[in-house]
Formats: sequence, structure tokens, C-alpha cells
Amino acid sequence: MRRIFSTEEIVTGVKRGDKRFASILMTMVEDGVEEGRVCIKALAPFSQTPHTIGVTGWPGAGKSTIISKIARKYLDMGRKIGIIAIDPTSPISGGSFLGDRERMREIDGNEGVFIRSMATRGHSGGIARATDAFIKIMGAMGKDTIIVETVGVGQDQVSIRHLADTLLMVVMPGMGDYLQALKAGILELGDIFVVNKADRPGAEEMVMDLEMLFSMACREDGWRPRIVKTVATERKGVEELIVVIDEHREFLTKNGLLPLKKMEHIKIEIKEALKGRLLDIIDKRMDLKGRLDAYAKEIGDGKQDMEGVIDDILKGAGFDSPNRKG
Amino acid sequence: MVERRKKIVLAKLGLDGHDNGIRIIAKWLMDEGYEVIYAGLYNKPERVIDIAVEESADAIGMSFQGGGHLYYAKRIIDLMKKRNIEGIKVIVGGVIPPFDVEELKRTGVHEVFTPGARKQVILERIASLLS
Amino acid sequence: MREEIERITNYRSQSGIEYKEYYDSSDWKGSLSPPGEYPYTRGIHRDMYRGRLWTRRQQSGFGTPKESNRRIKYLLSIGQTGINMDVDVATKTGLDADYPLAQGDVGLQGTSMSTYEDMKELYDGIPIDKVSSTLIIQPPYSVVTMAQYLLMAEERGIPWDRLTGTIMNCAITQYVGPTLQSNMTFFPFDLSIKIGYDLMEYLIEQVPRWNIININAYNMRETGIDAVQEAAFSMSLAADYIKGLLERGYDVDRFAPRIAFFSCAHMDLFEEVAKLRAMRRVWARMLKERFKAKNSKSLTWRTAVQTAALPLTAREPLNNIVRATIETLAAVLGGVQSIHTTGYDEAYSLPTEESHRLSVRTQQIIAYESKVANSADPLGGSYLVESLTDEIEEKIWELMKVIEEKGGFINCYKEGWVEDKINEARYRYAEAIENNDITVVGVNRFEGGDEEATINIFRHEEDMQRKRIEYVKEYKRKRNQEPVKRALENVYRLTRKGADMNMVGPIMEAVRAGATMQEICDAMRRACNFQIPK
Repeated sequence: MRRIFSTEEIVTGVKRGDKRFASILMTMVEDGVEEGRVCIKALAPFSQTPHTIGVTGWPGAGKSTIISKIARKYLDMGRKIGIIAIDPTSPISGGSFLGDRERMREIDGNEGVFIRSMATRGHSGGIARATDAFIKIMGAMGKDTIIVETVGVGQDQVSIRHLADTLLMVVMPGMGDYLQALKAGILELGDIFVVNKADRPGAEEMVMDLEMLFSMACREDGWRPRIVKTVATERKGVEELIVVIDEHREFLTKNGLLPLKKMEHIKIEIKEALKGRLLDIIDKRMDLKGRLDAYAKEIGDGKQDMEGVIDDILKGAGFDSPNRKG
Repeated sequence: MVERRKKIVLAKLGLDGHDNGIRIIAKWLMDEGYEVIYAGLYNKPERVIDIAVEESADAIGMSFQGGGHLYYAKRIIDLMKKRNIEGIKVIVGGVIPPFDVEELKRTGVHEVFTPGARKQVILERIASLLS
Repeated sequence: MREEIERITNYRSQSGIEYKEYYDSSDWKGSLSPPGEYPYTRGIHRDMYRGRLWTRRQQSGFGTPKESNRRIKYLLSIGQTGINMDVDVATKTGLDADYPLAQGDVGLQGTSMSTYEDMKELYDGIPIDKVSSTLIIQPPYSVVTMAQYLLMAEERGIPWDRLTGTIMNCAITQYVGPTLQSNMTFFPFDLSIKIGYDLMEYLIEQVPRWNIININAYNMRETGIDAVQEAAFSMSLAADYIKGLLERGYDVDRFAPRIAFFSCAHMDLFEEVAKLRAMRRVWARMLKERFKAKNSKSLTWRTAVQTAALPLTAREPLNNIVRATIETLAAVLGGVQSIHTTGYDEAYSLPTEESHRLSVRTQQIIAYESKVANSADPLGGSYLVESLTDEIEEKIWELMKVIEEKGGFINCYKEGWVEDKINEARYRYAEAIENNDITVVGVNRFEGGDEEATINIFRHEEDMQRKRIEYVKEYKRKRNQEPVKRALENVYRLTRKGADMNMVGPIMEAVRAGATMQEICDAMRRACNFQIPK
């Protein structure tokens, strides 16, 4: 049997930097265990604010390899690293294949680094909250740099934008058409665009395309996204990437953007948390889960429209005079 | 509380590069709803245990084609004892002679699967082991 | 109760071709040139096995060189006619027995071979000028092993032009899978390909009867890919190597006759025969039309075969004898040049002496008792086999075209495309057994037999690993260090210098000076600043 630890033991363990306790606490968070919340709260005062680097990009672009090279470099510089690798959960089985470890063996097992995989399964409170809690735990362990890897498609793309201080978007030659289609929206995809596999044909064109897109608009925060070419498997361009990451961080600090970013993030967090709680409440009051199929069928058969169903649900859960927009 | 999904670390130990079986098992487990952490080839016992600890895994699964099963299973189990790690089940699969199946179990391995083991049997035995 | 009619539920071949109820002249109207003539569908010689029986070449290698030497001699004494020397996985990754990550695998899946002394011990008392050898090892490690072998011949006073055999020497297919990770972990990939070419070049010039490369289709097939994929992958890979040698300035007719294949014989008997016949045709046409070969020796596709181990089961292991017999028959009917019949005990361990003997006997019974080897290509002209041969050939060309358009096999491999295909195939094969789409008697049909094996199973010698590790350490301590240091320094320096230097000479000098497998590989790794897992 697995031993059950007291919240005190866990908190002390995490503060000591003990990987075992940190990992136990992370599992408690993933499982939505109440004591997990208590521990996180107790740890808050001890958690320094680490520099959080988000890394997104399409599967196969080389995110994991880039992360392992950056982390290796940071470790040599004496930094303490935490890595959170988020992988999609199969929507069919709920299972997942978390294979990034295979590509991070260069840093795996190093005392200064803690790697944790996370599947995007139905976390109580959502993936963003779990990630946020993981960052706090790693901060309390004494990690000063945290790298979060996501596939960067769909929902978690939005949350990583707010969780990360610095966001890297990893692209590779051949993705030009896709990026073109985004037009100026591309500016928000990352603070730094890493053109990986830059030894392949089409890398120069890719850089030119990006520069052209960047020149079309300005970002609200005034940062102009940077482009770094890398061949991660050969460690090429990694030094430069690190310099640019530092420049971005400096930019945030100098302009006082870090606290603003943090506030922005907390606001979103509040809303996310509220959504989660509301759903729980509604479920408890009128068994939403049990009735979801029936509602879906009604809409599907054309007997009800979406707004009508939402009204129904809210009413059923005891919220009076549901106020519809428009 | 969300129903807890089980996490299994799968790894090849040492230099044996035969990964056919373990990759198929990885897929089956994933399809069954497990979270599979695939550590790939060429691991030493220390790395596998580090990963299992960092990931709070419920089990470690390793496969052997070339006869390294006793050498590595013993090291994994000794290391877990030495580091006081409890609650992680150890599963071994691969080309393993019957007399070694017994020896592995005596060493502390919880389940052993050999070539031709059916999917359903494997999944049932792992489910009951981790329940 | 109504009588249950027993029938087969699925008439597809293993690669998905639907077998017809029967075949007749509407299915095949072609004509065939006789065996020994282009495009060699019916075999590479007119007299085929009358002229020379296939070579019986059982893979053998385990533990120390001394133990393996005993097994080789035993096999030769019972009628094996060629040697198939398999080194252990440490040696195949350029590591010595004393390297920490290697220690658990020393001597398990092949012979542990670090030093020149090891080679001499392995071949002690074996006439290497009379019996051919296949050396199963890939570049850059193949250069060290080949150097050890050639130095041994030199020391025995045997001129190199009297040596016959094959070095595997393919940087991609040797590792099972072949997974990208396995080929990228222990040596810089591009350099290993380059050193493979160095060795081919050296052998072309210096060892005229030695096969310079063996395209290992077998290991790929063992993951679960089908007959068409096996053929197309290996042919495309061969095309890459041919292009590489042409780029090095060699005339195709100078090296093509010395490219050999290592194929698989699976359970689907007619499809396997058709595959082997189709591969001969594809090779002949590719060499003649695409690469403009003129020498007829360049056009003949020669292959060694090992019978598939994937269909073998741990349950009711004696059934495996029947399976291996059918697979061996497929190889013989397909007209191959050498055969390894997989042992019935291989779902448990390495073959015992008894199992090895049975493999040789299986081949001898087919050769001498069954009479199937009396005429060349006995299935030639069969509507079924000819129509299947045509269809498979067409599918091979189609898939080869896809690979060519993606930049060739080596490129597809580096991009991960090959691995994706292999993964798909291995899941499909495993699922097919689960769904009873592929029947495995005793496993998913007619179960309930005796689950416990009552056969003898191979055991490694007690303490073998510890002894080997000690030997290597002791060897390194005792030798004359100065020449070793100098030779390794030379390998390091020349590797750094890079591209144009053929590395075989310097590596051979390092072997002669007493350097071990890993020391030589480490010198090259160091030159590239390449880290391997500890």
C-alpha cells in the first residue's frame, strides 16, 4: 500500500525540494483532493515567482528537443529547472501516451531538474489550474525557471498564453501557409518564434514570411516578436535563443509588465475557477451530467435551441430570472 | 473527485533494443485509459525509478527480449527497497523462460507476461493488480 | 444438434491480397524465361539447387568467444555449411563488456567481442578459407569486426581473395525496428552511414569475394510489416546505397554483384514464394533499367533467409517446429541462397544445442527427403503463384515510387516516416491476432493445450558476464599501452579532419595495436563531441 502522508509532511517535503513529496502533491492536485488545496495554500508564502517559459508548436516541430537543450544550458548556468509536459488525452479512451521523456534524456535524472508529464484529461478545475498549481509547487521546491510544454492547439493555447511570462512558438520549414493564414493574429502566438530544423530547405523563406507578418501590426504591450533559427538536435542556435529569452524577460521587468501579466492571469483564473465551481453546483442541484444526453438530443432533433436549453438548466438549478444577452 | 486514472511508466532497460512488445502494450494500455509514460530505450534502473517517482506512477513495466530480465528486475527492486519507495508495482514482459518467471516473482515482480499472452488477459491482470 | 462445419473464415493473404477460389488461365497468361535468365523470376541459376544446395547458416553466438566457438564447431559437425556470427548487443553498439550500461546485456543475444584476441578465439580451429561467414554487425562497428577478421586471415597466411562471406554493414536495418532512437543514440547517424561506405569501398578494392553490405529486410519484417513493405523498403534502401556508391565514382557492375539481402520467410507460404520471386524481378529490372548495369551478375538478386520468429509462440512450443518447417519450405521453393531455420524454443531463450540441430535437420530433410529441391522453381507456371508474383511485384513498385518521391528510404527513415509505418504495422499485426484475423493455433484458436512447456531451455553459463567483464578489464591493463594510445589518437585526429578520409585503414591499425571495440568507437565519438547514455 502507498503510504498516506499528512499535509504537514508534504509541505515540509516540498519546501525541502524533495521530488517524492512534490510528485505526491501534484497527483493530489490532479485528482482534486481537498488536502492538495490546503497544501498549495500553505506553500504559497514560500513559493518564489519563477520565470515561466511556455513552449508551444505543432507535434513534430521539435519542442521537446528544444526544451531539453535550453534546460541543459540553464542547468550549466546553475539554475534550477522545472518542466511540465502537457500531452493530449485521447478523447476516445481517456488514456494518453506521454512520450516526451524519451527526448529529454539529456537532462532527465539530473538533480537540478524536475520533469512532470500531464495529460489533458478532465482535471477538476481544468488544465490551466492544474498547471498553475504545478508551477506553484515547483516554485516552492526552489525552481527558478519553469518550462511548460503544450501542443498549442485549441483550448490550452489560450491558457498557456496567460500562464507563461515568455512564450515560445516552435515552427519549422513547411508551415508557412498555415502561419500566413493567421495574418496579424500570429503576433499573439508567441513572444519568440523559433524556426527549428533550420537546416532544411525553406527556412529562410519562413523567416522572411514571419518578418513580413510581424511588420503588418503592432502588439499592445509594445514587444516585437523575435525570430531565432535553431537546429535543436545539433544544439545550433540554442545560445542565441537563451539570450533572446532573457531579453524578453528584461523587457517585461523594465516596463513593469510582470505584475500586470500576473493580475491578468489571476483574473482569468478567477473566472476559470468560477466556471468550474458553478458547473459543480449546477450538477449537484439538477444532475446535469445525467441529463446532458437528453438535452443534446433535444437540440439535435430541433426541439429546442441552445439558449432555451441553457435557460432550462439554470432554472432547474435554482438561478432565477436568467438574464440572456442581447 | 475525478476518478483517478492510473499511470504506468514503460521502459526498456540496458541495451536490448527490441521494443515491439512494449510498444504494443503501450498502445493497448493507452486505449484502455491508462496514462502511459514511455521512457524509451537504453535506460538504467536509476532513471526508470526517478521517472516513476516524479510522475507518481502506479506501476513500472519493462520488457526484455534478450535475457536481461533477472539482472535488471533485481536491480529495480533492490533500488526501490533501498530508497524506501513503496506502492509502485513492477511488471515484466518478454522472452522469459518458465524457471525465470518463478525467480522473477520470488524477487518481488508482481506480474510476468510472455509471448502470446492475450490482450484481454494482460489488461485484466494489470487492472486487478492496480485496483 | 446440427453439425458445425469447420472452415477458414478469412482468405486474405498476410499483405491483404484476397486469394481467389481457384486460379486458371484467365489469371495468368504470361510466359517465363528459364531459371538463370533475365529477369530471373525462376531463380538466379539454371540448375539452382542441383548446382549447389543452399547454405545452411544458423545464427550462433552467445556468451564468450570460447563458448560460441564450441557451438560453431558443433553445428559444422552436423552439416551446417556456413557460419553466421552474431555479436552481443553491447558489441553492436560499440561498447565493451565493462561499460556500465552494457553489463546487464553482455553475451546474452550474441557473442561478446571486444578485442582481436576474441576474434581469434571465436574462429580457433575453423578453416576460414573454406567456410564462409556472415558477420552480423553494422557501421561503424562493422569496420572494427571486419578488421579483426581480416587481420586474423593475414596472421594465418590466408590471402584476402580467398575469403568469402558477408558483412551486414547497414547502418539502418540492423537494430530491430528499426527505431530512430536506436540508430541515433550510440553514434552520429550520418557518420555511421559514411563509414559504412568507407568499408564497402575498402572491401571492393581489397577483398574481392566478400559481400560489402547485407540489406536486412528481416529485422524490419519482424515488427509486423507485410511482405510488400518488406520488399519495397529493402529495395528502396538498396537503391540509396547504390546511388551512394555511384556518387563515390564506382561503376555499378563493380559493386552490385556484391550487395546481398537478408529476407524473411513468413507463414503465408505462397505469398512468401511470390514475394521472393517478385524481388528477384524487381532487382533485375531496377539494376538494368535504372542503374544501367550490364554484367549479368549485377542483375541477380541473392538473399539469405531467416524464418520468421514473430509467429512463434511460447504456448505449445513444439508447434513451432511445424511453423519453422513451413517457412523453411517457402524459402526453398522461393529459391534463396542460404537459410537459418528459427529454433522452436526461441519464444523462451536462445536455441539449445538440440534445437539448433533440429533446425539443421529440418533443412536437410527438406533438401534430401522431400525432393522439392530437385527441380528449379517447382511452383513456376502455377496460375496462383504467377498471378500473386505479378500482383506483389506491382505493389512493390508502387510503394517504392512513394518512397522515391519522399527522397528515398534513408531520408524517409530520418524523417520518421518509416518508423510511423512500422508502428502502424505492428499495432495492426497485434490487433489482427486479437481479432482472430490472423489465426495462431494454440493461442487464439484451438486453445486449451498444455500451457507449460516441457522442452529443454537454454541457460547461460553461470558467471559468464562477470568473467567477460573481468577479461576486458584485465586485457586493457596488461597490453602494451603506447601503440594503442597512438593509434587511437590517429583515429580521433582523422575523424576530426572529416569527409574525405577513408577510416578503415586507421581503424585496422588501431585493432592491430590492441585497441578494443569501444576504445576505437569512443575515439570517433570524442572527435564529434558525441555523448552516449551512461
